[in-house]
Parts: sequence; C-alpha cells; structure tokens
Amino acid sequence: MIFPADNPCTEDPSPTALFSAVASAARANSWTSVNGLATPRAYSNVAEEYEAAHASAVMADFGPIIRYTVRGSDAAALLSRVTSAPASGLIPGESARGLMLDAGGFVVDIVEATRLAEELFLLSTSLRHARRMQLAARGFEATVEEITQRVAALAILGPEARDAAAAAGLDAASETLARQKRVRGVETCARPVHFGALPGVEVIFPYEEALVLWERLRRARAPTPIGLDALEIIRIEGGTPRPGLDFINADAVSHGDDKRSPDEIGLVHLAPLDRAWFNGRRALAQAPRRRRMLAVVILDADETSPGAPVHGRKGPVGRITSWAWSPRLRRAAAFAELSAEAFARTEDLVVIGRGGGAPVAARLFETPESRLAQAFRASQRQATESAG
Amino acid sequence: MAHEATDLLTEPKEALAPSASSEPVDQPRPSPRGRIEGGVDALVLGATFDGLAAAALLGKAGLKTILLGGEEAEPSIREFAPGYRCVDGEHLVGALDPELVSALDLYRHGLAYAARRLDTVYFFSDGAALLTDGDIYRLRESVAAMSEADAAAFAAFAERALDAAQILRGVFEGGDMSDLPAALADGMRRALHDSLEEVLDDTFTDERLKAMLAAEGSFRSAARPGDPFTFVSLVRRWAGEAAGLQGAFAYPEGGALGVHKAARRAAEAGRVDFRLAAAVKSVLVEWDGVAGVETEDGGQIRAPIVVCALDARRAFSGLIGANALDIEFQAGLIAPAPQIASVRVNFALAGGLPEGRAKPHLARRLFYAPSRLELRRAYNAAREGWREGEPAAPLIMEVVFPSALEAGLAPANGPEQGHVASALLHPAPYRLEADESFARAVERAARATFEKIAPGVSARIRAVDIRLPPEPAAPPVLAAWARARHVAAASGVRGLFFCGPEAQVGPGIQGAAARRAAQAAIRYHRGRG
Amino acid sequence: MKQRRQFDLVIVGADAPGLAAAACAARRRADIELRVAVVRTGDEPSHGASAPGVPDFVWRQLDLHRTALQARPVEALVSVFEDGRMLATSRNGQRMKQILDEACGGIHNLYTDFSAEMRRLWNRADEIMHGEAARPFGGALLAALASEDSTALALSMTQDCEALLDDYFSDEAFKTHLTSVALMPFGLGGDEPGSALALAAANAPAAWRLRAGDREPSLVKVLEDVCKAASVAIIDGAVRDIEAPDDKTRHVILSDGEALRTPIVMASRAMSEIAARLGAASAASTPMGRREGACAEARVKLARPADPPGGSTAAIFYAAGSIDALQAARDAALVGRLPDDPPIYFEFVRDEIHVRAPYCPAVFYTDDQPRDWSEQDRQALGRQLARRLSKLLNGAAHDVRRVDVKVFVRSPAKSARGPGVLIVPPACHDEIGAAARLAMDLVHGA
Repeated sequence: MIFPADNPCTEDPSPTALFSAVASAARANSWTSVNGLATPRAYSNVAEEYEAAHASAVMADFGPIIRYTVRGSDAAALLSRVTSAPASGLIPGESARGLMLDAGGFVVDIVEATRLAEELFLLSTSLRHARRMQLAARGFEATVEEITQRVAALAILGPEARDAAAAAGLDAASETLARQKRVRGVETCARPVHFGALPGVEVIFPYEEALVLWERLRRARAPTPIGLDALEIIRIEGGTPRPGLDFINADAVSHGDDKRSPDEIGLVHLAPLDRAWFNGRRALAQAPRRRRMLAVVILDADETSPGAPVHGRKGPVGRITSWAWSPRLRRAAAFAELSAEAFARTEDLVVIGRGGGAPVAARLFETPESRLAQAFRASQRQATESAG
Repeated sequence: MAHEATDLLTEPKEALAPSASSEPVDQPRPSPRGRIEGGVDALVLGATFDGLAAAALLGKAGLKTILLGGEEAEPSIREFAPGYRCVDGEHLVGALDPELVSALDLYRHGLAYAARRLDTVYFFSDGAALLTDGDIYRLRESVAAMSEADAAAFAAFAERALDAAQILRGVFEGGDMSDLPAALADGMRRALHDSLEEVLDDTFTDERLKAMLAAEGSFRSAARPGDPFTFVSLVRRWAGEAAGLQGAFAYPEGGALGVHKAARRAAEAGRVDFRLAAAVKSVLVEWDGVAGVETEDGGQIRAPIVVCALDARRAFSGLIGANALDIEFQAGLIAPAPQIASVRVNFALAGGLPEGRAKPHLARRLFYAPSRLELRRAYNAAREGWREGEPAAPLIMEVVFPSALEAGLAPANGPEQGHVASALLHPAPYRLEADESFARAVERAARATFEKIAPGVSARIRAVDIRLPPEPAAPPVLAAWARARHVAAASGVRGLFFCGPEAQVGPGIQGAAARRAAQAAIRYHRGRG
Repeated sequence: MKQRRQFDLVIVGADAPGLAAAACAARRRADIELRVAVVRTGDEPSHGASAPGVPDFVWRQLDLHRTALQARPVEALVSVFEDGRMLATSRNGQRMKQILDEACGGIHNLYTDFSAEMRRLWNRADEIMHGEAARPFGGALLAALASEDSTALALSMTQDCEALLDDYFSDEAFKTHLTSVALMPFGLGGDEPGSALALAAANAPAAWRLRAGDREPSLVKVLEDVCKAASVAIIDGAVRDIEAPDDKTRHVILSDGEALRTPIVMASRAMSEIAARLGAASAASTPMGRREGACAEARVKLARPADPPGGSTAAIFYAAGSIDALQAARDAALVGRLPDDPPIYFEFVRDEIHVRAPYCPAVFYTDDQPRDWSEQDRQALGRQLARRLSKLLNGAAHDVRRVDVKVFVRSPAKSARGPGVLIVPPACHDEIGAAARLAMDLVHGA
C-alpha cells in the first residue's frame, strides 16, 4: 500500500468517505489532495503521530488509494496478466503485492491484489489506470470496476494495530488472511496490510457506514489519527518508493528515459521472472540493463531537498528524490536516485545543500524493502550459479 | 458521486467458502489426450501463398517444417458457365517480391508468365481512351500524346515518384524507415502525407490525367483519393514489381493458381510436411516462447518456431489468446472493421468485345478511370453501404481477358469465339454476408462500368459470375505499414513469426511478409544453435 | 501600378493569427529591424465571437501581460442534440466529472486517461510539425517514424478519429461530441486516416478559445496595438493576386492596384479564402488541412437576445447530430450538394448568433456541370441555418430579423500556382501558435 505523490494544486478535491470524521479530527487543518481526494497532511503534530505509530496504534484514511474490483471466471488470469502479483495462487482472503508493468518492462504502479472469493478480487493501486484496465480486460471473462469513491477505507497501523482492530470487532482472520463479516449490521472486510515496515489492518466498508465504524474504532481503543506527513517518514524508513516522487508511472512519461524498471526502483523482488507470465515479463527477461538505482540514503544533516545533487568521489552521481526527517534516526532520510556504478560501489556520498551550503555526508541505508530485494538478488544469483 | 451500496461485500458466504486454487495461466498444459509429436523445427499455420512461401523458405534452409492448413481454400479453376472457366483469386501479379522469387527459385518450380508486361488502356468518363505502355518508365510518352500541357510536368513528376517508389520499396515490404529521410527528395517527403487529389491538383491541369492517376492510386484502397496519406498508395502501386519490371502487371500462367502451385512445389522441394486437413486449436505458449500447437483432435505438435499466415484476429485472439500477449501489443491489434471492398466479377462473353473504331486487342489490361465526381459518388455510396440499393456506377474497374492469354478457358467455336473477362470492381461496401440483392447490385454496377469501357458489350455477355464475399480494401499505406510492423515484430512471444494479411502493405499477391517472417525465423533458429 | 512598397514579410489576413504572427516576427530580434506588413482583406472572422487561444510562447514574445488583454477562456464546448440532450467539455476537472457522471456514467477516469494520451500524442506531433515549421511535415513525419518507438507513433498518427474513439468509449453521443469539437473546424468526417491527430490537437492547451467580455478590448484590438508599437504596417485592401517574377520576389497586388514587394508572403490561417483562391501549395500542411469545400459563416440577427441552451452565453455550441451525420455531410459537400442537415457550430454574440457551417460544397453540380455559389444558394443556406437553429433553440428563430451569409470557398482544384508563392501555416486548433511559429521561422530561420 502506498500513496502516490500528492498534488496540492488540484482544484476542489473530492471528499473521501471518511472526510467529515477526518476533518473534525484534523486540528492542524493542513490539507492536500491525493488522486483528487482530500487528504490531511497532519492531524495535530507529525512527531506525535509518528511516535504513536511506532509505540501503539494509529489510524489513517486510506480512501485516496484507488480500488478496483475484478470479478468473473477469468479474474485471476486477468490480474496475473495486468500485475505481477501471483493472483492465481492466492486463496480467498489472501493478499499479495506486485507491480504493474508496461510491455517494455517498466514500472507503472505498485499494487496489491486480494482474493475475496473464488471469482472476486480487490485490486488496490496508488494511481488510477482506467485505460490500462480497459485494455487489459479485453478477451477476458472478467469485469473491472473502480469503486474508490464507493467505499470507505481505514487503516489501523502499528504494533498494537491488531488489538485495536479486534477491540472494535474488526480484526483480520489471521496474519495473512482477510475476514469479511458483519459488524453491527455493517458489511466489512478486514485484511492484514503493511505500510512501509509497519504492520496493520485495513478495513473496507460501504461508503454510507463510514462514520459509524470510525466512531466505533475511536471509542474502542482511540488510536491516534495519522496524516500523510508522518506516513511519509514511515514510508521512507520502510524503503518503499512513491509513484510520482521517486519514479514516474511509465504510462505517463513522455520521454522514454524517465521510465524505470523494477530493479531500478529497488523492487525487483516484486516481479520475479520465474513465476507465471505477466505483462512486461518478456521485456524484463531480455533487458536487465540497469542504468540507475533508487536507494534510501541517510544524511548527516537535519534536512535536504528534493533534487539536491548527490556526489560521489568523482563528481555528481545522482539526486535526492524525496526526503523526511526521521525521528528514530535523528537525521534526514531520503530516497536518492544514483548511477548504477555508484550504487554498486557503495562509495562515500555527499549531498550538496541548498545555496552552496557545505556538502553533507550520506550513506546507503538498509531498509526492510531493500533487504527483501537483496535477498531476492542473492537467491537468483545462487540459482543461476547452480544452474550454470 | 455514487452513493449506492458497494457490491464488493455482498458475497461474504461465497468469499469464505473454501476454494481450490486455480492453476497459473501459462504453466505447461496438462498432458493432452492425443499424441505428442516432437522433433519438428518449425510449424507454419495457413496454406495461403504466404504460408506456402514461408514453409518453402524454412524447408529450404534445412528446418524440419510442417505446414498446417486452415479453412483457406486453394484457388481453383471453375466452370461458371458452359464452356467458360475462371480462376479465383488475383488475376494479375503486380508486386510479387523478387527476392522471394529468386530465393525459392519459383521459375524452376513452374512460375511462368503468359504475359509479362500488359499494356493498359485507360477509359475515361467522356468516352476517351488512352493506350499506355506496360513499361511504366515509358508512360510519359503516352501522357504527352494525351495532354501536351502536362507533358513536362508529368515527366518531372513521374521521375520523382518512381525514384521515391524505388527508395520506399523496402518500407512497403515491411522494413523500417531509418535511412529514408535523407534519401527521399524534398518534394516527395511532403507527398507522404498528402492526399492524391492535392498532389494531382498541384501538378496537373488535365482532368483525364488526374482521373487516371487518381483511379490507379485509389484502386483497391479503403481511403478515398481526397484523404490524407493517399498519394503514397500510388507510389506503392508503382513500387511493385512483376516479372522483373517495376510498376508493371504480369499475367501468370494459370492465374492465381499458377503462382500458388509454384509456391507449393517449392515447399514440396523443401520437404515440407503438408497436413492441410489438421485443424489447429491453439498455439502453445510456454514461458515466453511458443512450444508448438495443439490440434483439434487433442494432439500436440511441439516445435520452437511457429510461423503464422492466418489473419491477425484468428492468430492472436483465437489461437494464442490474450492471456499470453502484452496488453500494449493487443491494443495495437484492434483495427476498425473494413468498410470498403473490391468485388471480382467474371463475364462470359460470346465473340469478344464489340469492335469500335479498331479491333480491340484483348491481351491488355483495361481500366476504367472514373471522373472525380464519379469516383467521389462511388466512395460515398460504398461508405453508406449502397443504402438505396444502388451503387453509384460507374466504379473503378480493371479488366483482363484470361482467355486471350491462355488457351482452354472459353469455347472456341469459329466466329462465336468466346472470351472470359475477369474484372475487379472498386469501391464496393464490405459485406461479410452478401445476399442476392447485393449480388444483383454488383452485377448492375459491373455491367454499367463495362459498358463505359466497351459500348455494346452487354449484348455479348452470356453469364456473369460474382465472387462473394467482397475482398476488403487495403488500408492507407502508412497505416498499413505501421500495423504491419506492429503485428510482425512486437508480439514479443519468442519463436512466433507472423505473415498474415495484416503484415502486408498494399493489395495483391506479394510474399514479402512471408519472406521477412521466414528469414527472421531462420535467424532465430540458428541463434538457438 | 501606382507604387511599390518593399517589405521583408507580408502576411495576408489581419485576424488574430495574422497579427500575432506579424508582431512575433517583428519583435523576435531586437538587433534587426524587419519591415513586416499585414494586409486586412475584409474577410477576417467577425469581431465579438471567440478568438483562438494564445499559446504561452506568443504571450511571452509579445509581453501580453502589459496589455489590457483579458484572456478569458470560453466557458465550455457544448454539443446540443435535437432530442434536447446536451454534453459538454469543460476545462474544470470537477465540472467535467459532474457532466460525465450525469450524462454517461462513470467514464470520467477513462476520459482523463484519454485526454492525457491525446496531449502526449499532440506533443509528439507538435514536435514533428514545428521542429522546423518550414520543413515539410512529411519529412518530419519520416524522421519521427524512423525513430526507435516509431511503430506506436505511426499507428496513432495514421489512425482515424472514429476508430480511436471507438477504442475508448461506447457512448455514441459523447463520441459525437468529441468528434464535433475536434473535427468540425476542418470539415472532416472522422473516418479519414490521420484524423486522430485533430483529436489530439483539440486537447492542446492553446486549442481552447478565448472570449472577451462586452467592455473588454478584443484580442484582435490588442494585437493591432502591439503590431503598431512594433512598427508593423497594417494595410487595408483585398488581395487580387500574388505574382512571382522570380524565386526571391513576390508582388502582392491589392485591389486598388498597389503592389507590395516582398520575398515572402504568408497567409494568416490555413483555411483562409486567400489560401484556397491563390493556391497555397505550401510545405506545411497536415493531415487536418486543405480539403476541398467551403465554410459558410452566418450572422443571425435576432429581435431580442436568445437564451442559450444551458444558460451560458460564453460557450461554443456544436450541433452535429451524430458522427454518421458528419460523414454524410462531408460526403454531400464533396459531390457538390448542401447536406440536408448541415452540422453547425455557433456562438451567442449580443443579439446575434454567429453560425458556422463548415460542411458546404466548394462548387455545386447541376447535371454534372460545376457551378459556383450564387446569391440564391446563400439565401437558401441562410434559411436552412435559421430553421436548424430554431429546432435546437426551441423556436428562437421566430425572432430572426436577418441572416447574413458569407461563404469561404476552399478549392484546391482551382489553384495551380506552384509551391512557395503563398506559404500557409499548418491547419490546427492552435491557429495563433501555428502562424507565429511559421512567421518567425520564415524570417529568422528555425
């Protein structure tokens, strides 16, 4: 689950299902728009929200994340085609992450597929893909429907998230399985999710019942509501790149050079070539050329800015794409796009500050996501060695 | 904003029900009922001319090749009226790939021309006629005789257009355009997107000359001569080659059947295994490449190369399935349904053509070039599907007399010497299911146009044979080129090569797509070592 | 010949594109003083109605922020149907979503993807066409097709509008609306190869037209002032002929006999009367431009201001009926007939309605003999247009006082002037951008 880059300039963003609840809780009154939906940047205090997320449980409006239902006898085949998530292999209730790739093997989006029933899937994407889904569904016995603004989505995150959810009767079936049930007359679907490295439960329920469940949860355990800014810190620490900031949706770029492969954005493990076919796999298998790599770096400074140049020993090797001040690391953590060589050498890096400020040292930082990619690459190397 | 209850959550019972996990989509399929055949290097699907030619090339290169037939009928010789016989399919060859002819040595396999360079007589709406030399490089002399005013303009125009035709030949065969911009003369670059009418209006004043070139350029083309990109159609027509001569039309011995047979013999010489009765159910795609085909009887023939000469819809949607295709590739396959078509009509004539001022010479290609207004009306009527039941005759019509070029096609009994006229009419509406009334409309249009060519001919027509359904017209050259490149190259399925009708630019028997597909397949085969 | 004035560039047509092009050419380089003239022929589109959008580079080049120009975009592009249904395109995303939710149900996101894709296609096409404006489109097209990702580009650039829309949408009325907005100004039917490009061009930012309020200076007025300040000569007089004594000299002969001497003559718009009459065998045409036909412009004067459908006067209204009707109209015009129900687009200007009927024949045919437009034809068309309007506007035609019809004939058949005598900008929705780029390229090089 990931939010795409926000767009504060959007005219008149639409309310999410939880808008009125969120608005009354958002004392900071700092808003932005994600996918054209109003999203609070902070409710009260970013640092407090962040602390609560690590210490107990927080709740967030996941309404701006795009949802599709895919139903029909070919639903699994369609999802296996349009995303790299192993949809056919999921049992009902199970979810899997994956990438949406274009035919050239470039990343369009980071997605999550959940099998709700034998012939019914929920697809969560960070961006809308109306045209891609329309094209993909041709020739398949499956209908795709966008339901983003017909449902409410609420995530409870943090170490105590499951307890908080359970207290309100909203817990998932297990660590891996979703549960659909009726809570006080409201149809709900609770499924285990991760945001960055933070575990949690996401509850999806009908639009009309949004406030009922929000209140119910608040009364049961009162998790702190968390806004986009605190989530951004958690995301960078977790190592998940954000569409629109750290890479651009391959369907939207006009210049071919701006497209990124799964390997380049550090999510190679989400598009394994040894699984069933998915859109773009052929191209991936043929062109493993790596030009630049997206990685999390930590800086010996309190701040930096997107676009700040990163230098290696011999000059510029890349730039910062997004950053946040990490309360846990007591420094700025940032996504940086580095040349493939600089990434491979793991050499000393410096980030040039604004206005000719002194360069600050930076080094690559291992995140849960990068550990997965690392392990995946190692296992692949092993596989090819043993095969060779 | 929609406020209805979501149906996402209305199926909790079903959702909780245990389920068998379905199998991944492109895993090797379970073992088939029928037998599995291996040891084959390549499969060719579709016994069209292109399919035969591709199989022959593969066989000649030493690949163990099986040709699987489809529903396509081989051209045959038919008696459509007592004593009058016709061959279905193309009656002329104008763009047969010379490289293919030499690579397969088709002449040795029986390809022969009864006439190597048919002179064309153009007939105009005002009753005038113009005899032109079959050698297109001598066309200017004929034009000079017709229109003094445009003689110089035509000479310059023809030179540039023929040069462009030479340069663009590779493109028309489905090649890329990378070296072209520098090579093409400035005047011709513009011509790439201009309409035929624009170019003709800018260059000439003589209405007959314009009508003649407009008719040649729009013959068998779906785009009307006023549409963008249509000038290239004329260039494409002049880039063709038959019997070693650019822009010429040749009549092969035995008509389309003769060409087909030569390819068939070449394939036999390459030890191609013919299985024309075997119906293919699907193409097996395993991982990223083809693995062979599954036949209707449940058997499998496994091979790492499949060359497909069937149409794209059947090949990609039918045999391979969207499941194994990239979304972007599949999106590019969707072509609008054809609207415009050409219809073949055979006439049984008693006593040949009526004599006008001189005895008509039948070893020629007769061509009716409608006036601009006639042609526009014809296209309008065809687009509307001949709604009022009437085609707007006259149409463009190409007529050849196979009986004057080959013996045995028409009764030869003294003064009543019979002849078969094979005509191609354009534009007609495209109808997959053509009914009686459509056939009658075609006949009326054919007769009316024939009458324009040879006044009084109606009295000699003994029988009319209309070949239905009509043949879809060729899409505009640039669009056809783009689609051909897309279908032939971009499927991404390893080992799959395509040379169906969509891989061809322009109408007629060509074989260039088959050659390119076979060459690519052979390279792939060698690369696999 | 009375006298001969000498210029470096003469632009025929003192409409917004012509004036903007002249001013851009004159102001492009501070160190060179260019003598630029604009000829006001009297055939310019009427004032008061909408004007083409101003692209950013022209705005910057002419420092239009210093003028009193109010660049107020037209509120909406509205299709009206005879059954009373209405569909519109709005620049406001929320408004557009609302319109689509009401009219076609839930295709807004698809429409968003569609317009984004069209913008991308237009950017590529625009690059091709204006990389060097004076360079033939065909050559640039070739260069683009020779590039790496040529197949997809070639597919979309040669596609027809109808097929492209079918691929996205299923609602016939919405497809008709998009087709009308994109193709009507060019007199196309939507099944021509390459017409998808017009669809893309209609999505370019500067394709959105502007309208000045009643008391604000119109764009033409502002541009005239800018031209005067840049010492551009604005000369009144119809152009009788253009002579080309040699490759480098042109004489623009005005109706009073005056000749303007210049190396380069340019028409202000692709579809202007002069371009058709004098044979604009220009290098820079596109798949959208230069078709045979005529566009009729009617000013319908009403006894009292009429109520526009939906209540918005600052919109442009399109009445096509269906895509099929557009194609039938185009077909009719090609064979010299007036279409039965001519597709029109119109605007409300005070107590007048300005109507354009772009699907008119260039010549009529009686018994297969060509005949030019006569006064009777114009009157018949005027009556037809008034009838059509009253059907669409609930009987507003009862108030019709007068209908003035002007017909602009484009007949490439009559023109055989040789290339380069009169250079014409490529036909596209962004008329100002096309003219300004061409003018700057012609006098300064790319």
